[in-house]
Amino acid sequence: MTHPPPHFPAPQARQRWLAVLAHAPRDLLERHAAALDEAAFTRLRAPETGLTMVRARIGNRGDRFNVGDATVTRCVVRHRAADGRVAAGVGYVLGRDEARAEWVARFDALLQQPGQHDALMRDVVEPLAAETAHRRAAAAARIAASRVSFDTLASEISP
Amino acid sequence: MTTILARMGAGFADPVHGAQQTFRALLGAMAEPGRVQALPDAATAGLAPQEADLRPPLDVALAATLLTLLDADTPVHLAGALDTEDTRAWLRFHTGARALPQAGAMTAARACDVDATLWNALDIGTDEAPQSSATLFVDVDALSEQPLEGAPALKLRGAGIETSRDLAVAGLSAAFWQWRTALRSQLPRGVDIVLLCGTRLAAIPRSTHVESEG
Repeated sequence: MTHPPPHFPAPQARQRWLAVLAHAPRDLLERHAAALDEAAFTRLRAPETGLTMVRARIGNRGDRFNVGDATVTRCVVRHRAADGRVAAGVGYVLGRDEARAEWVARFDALLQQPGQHDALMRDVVEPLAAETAHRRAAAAARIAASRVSFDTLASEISP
Repeated sequence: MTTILARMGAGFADPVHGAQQTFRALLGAMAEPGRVQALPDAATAGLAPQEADLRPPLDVALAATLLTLLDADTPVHLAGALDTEDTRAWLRFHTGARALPQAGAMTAARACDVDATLWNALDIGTDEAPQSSATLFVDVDALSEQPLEGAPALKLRGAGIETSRDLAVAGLSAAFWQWRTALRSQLPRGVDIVLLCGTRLAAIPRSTHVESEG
């Protein structure tokens, strides 16, 4: 029995959809995930919660320092398509919501299946990306109203 | 990485209870040298899946034992034919353990790959620190408390055995058992041996006297 070899998407494309899925609101993700065929998935790594060290740079330029531990839940599932093609999907989400990590992993696996990629990008990923962008723009607009500029003060002190 | 992940074998269906049940069987095996322990279904669930491409690259008992005992700080040496890319990747994915290039504290091998080079490389510890010695896991061809045709019959005596216990192990050479018999005089230095076959396992700790009867 021979199956078609797994398909490998470009890393940047996969990073993007994983970021979109990880940031997607829970209720929207759940609604999309409910339509998936559960029987086609096998858990390679059941959802598990752990800690990961978050690191950052001061002003995005200085030395790296440890901000602190963040709670992360991860999951790995395998999807077998009707044509026998196999893809493994990973899900990493902040927090301890195991269902969310598994939904992300399932979508990641499906998005690597050439037969479903385009439809899923159109019906799931792009709407979720638009929703997240909208949410961020609204938050940015709300915060922008209280923005204080120190430009004038700085120029008077330093010649 | 994705190539490997899409073809990755499964691990314990329930990692917590699978590891606990396997650990309990290993404790029982070490406490009663030569007694063959069968791993309960709860431990082996997931390790022998229906789909051929989900099967772990190791036999059930060896797979369960390594999943139970290894972690990111506990590397293993895979000797001979066990040392494949699939096995390394599988152990790394499920336990975080790395493979050691030479014999170390945890060494696993198939019976046919156990030779003098391997057992002479095993660390037997020192009188001050006997705990630094190696543990050898051998996937044998057959394992039984009853005599087996073509398998040397072993008579075990020592701690954990009332008088003596018989054990038949197929696949390991006579030279191996001679080495093991001679090693007993080094106590507390020595090597603990775990024999695995299918879903069953038995242990021969360093304190056990082993007599090989042909």
